[in-house]
Amino acid sequence: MEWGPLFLSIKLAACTTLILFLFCVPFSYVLTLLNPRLRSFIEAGSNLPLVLPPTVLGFYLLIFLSPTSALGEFLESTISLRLVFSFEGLVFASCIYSFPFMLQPILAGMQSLPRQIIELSYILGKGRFQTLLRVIIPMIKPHLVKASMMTFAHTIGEFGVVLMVGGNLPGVTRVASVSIYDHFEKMNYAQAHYTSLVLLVFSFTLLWFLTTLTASDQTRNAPKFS
Amino acid sequence: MHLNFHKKLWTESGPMPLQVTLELEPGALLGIHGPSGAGKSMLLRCIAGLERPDEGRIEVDGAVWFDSSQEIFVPPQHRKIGFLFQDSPLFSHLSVDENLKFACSDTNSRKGLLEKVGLTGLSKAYPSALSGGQRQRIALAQALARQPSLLLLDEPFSSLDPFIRTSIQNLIEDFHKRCSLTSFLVSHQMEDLLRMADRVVEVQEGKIISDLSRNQLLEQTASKSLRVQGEIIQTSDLNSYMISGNSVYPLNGMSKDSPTQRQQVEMDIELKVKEIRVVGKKESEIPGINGNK
Repeated sequence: MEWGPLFLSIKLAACTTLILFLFCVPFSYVLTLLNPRLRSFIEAGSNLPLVLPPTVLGFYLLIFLSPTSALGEFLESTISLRLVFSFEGLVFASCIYSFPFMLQPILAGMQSLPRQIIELSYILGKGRFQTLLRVIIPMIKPHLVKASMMTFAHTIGEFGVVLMVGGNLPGVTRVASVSIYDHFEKMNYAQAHYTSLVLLVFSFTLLWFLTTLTASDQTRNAPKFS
Repeated sequence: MHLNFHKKLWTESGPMPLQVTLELEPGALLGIHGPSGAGKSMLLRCIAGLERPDEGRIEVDGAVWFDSSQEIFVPPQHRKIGFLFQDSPLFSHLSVDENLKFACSDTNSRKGLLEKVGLTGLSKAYPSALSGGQRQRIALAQALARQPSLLLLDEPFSSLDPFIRTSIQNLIEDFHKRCSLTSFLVSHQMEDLLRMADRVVEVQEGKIISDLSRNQLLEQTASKSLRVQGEIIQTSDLNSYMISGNSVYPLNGMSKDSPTQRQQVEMDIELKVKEIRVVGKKESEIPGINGNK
């Protein structure tokens, strides 16, 4: 059993989830403050990874981040950072690919809050940042947990984007999904089975937990007839 | 307090301008009455800073909160206001005491407020465990916790049953008198306004169409026409009365041709209620009866 790609997948998913969480919470809040027309335009752009084939996204990211592109050249010359075929590049690509999985549940949570709750916080002397920290985040905790779990699970299962941007460098970019494909190509079915089974059990457990969490949340919020 | 502002509102039937010009003395309670969609709540939201008027000026206790000509707009968190919403929203993730702490960090003040609203025993409870009346009491305590210079009440009684409604009204009246707090009360119910407000403005389609003191309004509204059958009598001081069963109605405006002797007549009279006295029970024992109301 090859554990390296599995640990790399978990590391990639953890980094992606953390970065997206820190970015999407304030980003969603800003979106809720925008006028509906501008918000829907930005939301449509943010949801593109949901509908684009991963290879299309991977292809453009590869071109955008390659050392010959303006950004790639700038990053390499200023901070010696090369994003293609590197773990950092994988994290960047995963953040783009998993962006809607973090954004949508958080945005839904924020939009489900009554407007008066936010206004009450302002009236009681709290500014927007304080309102975000002391009212919005605590009140949408279940949505934050769901968003993080979905992002984590989705990143673990990534294949197309990861392969195109990161390639298959053992210990650097060879994550579990790429490793399964590699074993399959080499007809090493036993290894492909082991890794696949671990991923299957892991993903199922995560989804089961997520479903239980959603169900308990719905039960808690359901009207009580007593 | 000086309000003079304009805001264009969008309604189902198209744009509607909200035009407000009001002067209010410190410590007064102004009632705002009008049909749904007239712009009453928007008026309060503009004062609170939750909405920005298109142009005009809002000045409270000498402080300018909004002035379009000088591009001044003080955000709601910097206006010292208390706002009581219709549905009394509370922070569901915080206990009653934490909800008050959100507005006021002083423990003694919070205890005092809980005592005043009669909910000392519920400081550890969460909003989901409270009844509608208890939520409204906590919301009132929260609105007052910041020691506001202005209290805005947006239909605070509409979802309460009559008994709780009266007890919340008593509480607000009590706070209003004790703190001399300048207040605005929006209500559909003229009874609420007649009971509590010093002055009532009528808003229709975004415009203030009347501005009357409580007494003027009582003259106008506390009257009822009814058909009465009975006897008219004239006393030695030339005052006339209608006697109908056990009721005696003093009559004003009798003409020369009106019957003035004891005789059976049937006529329409208009009753003007100036004062209602409750007899046979101590006033203090009757919920909602307070002082000379």
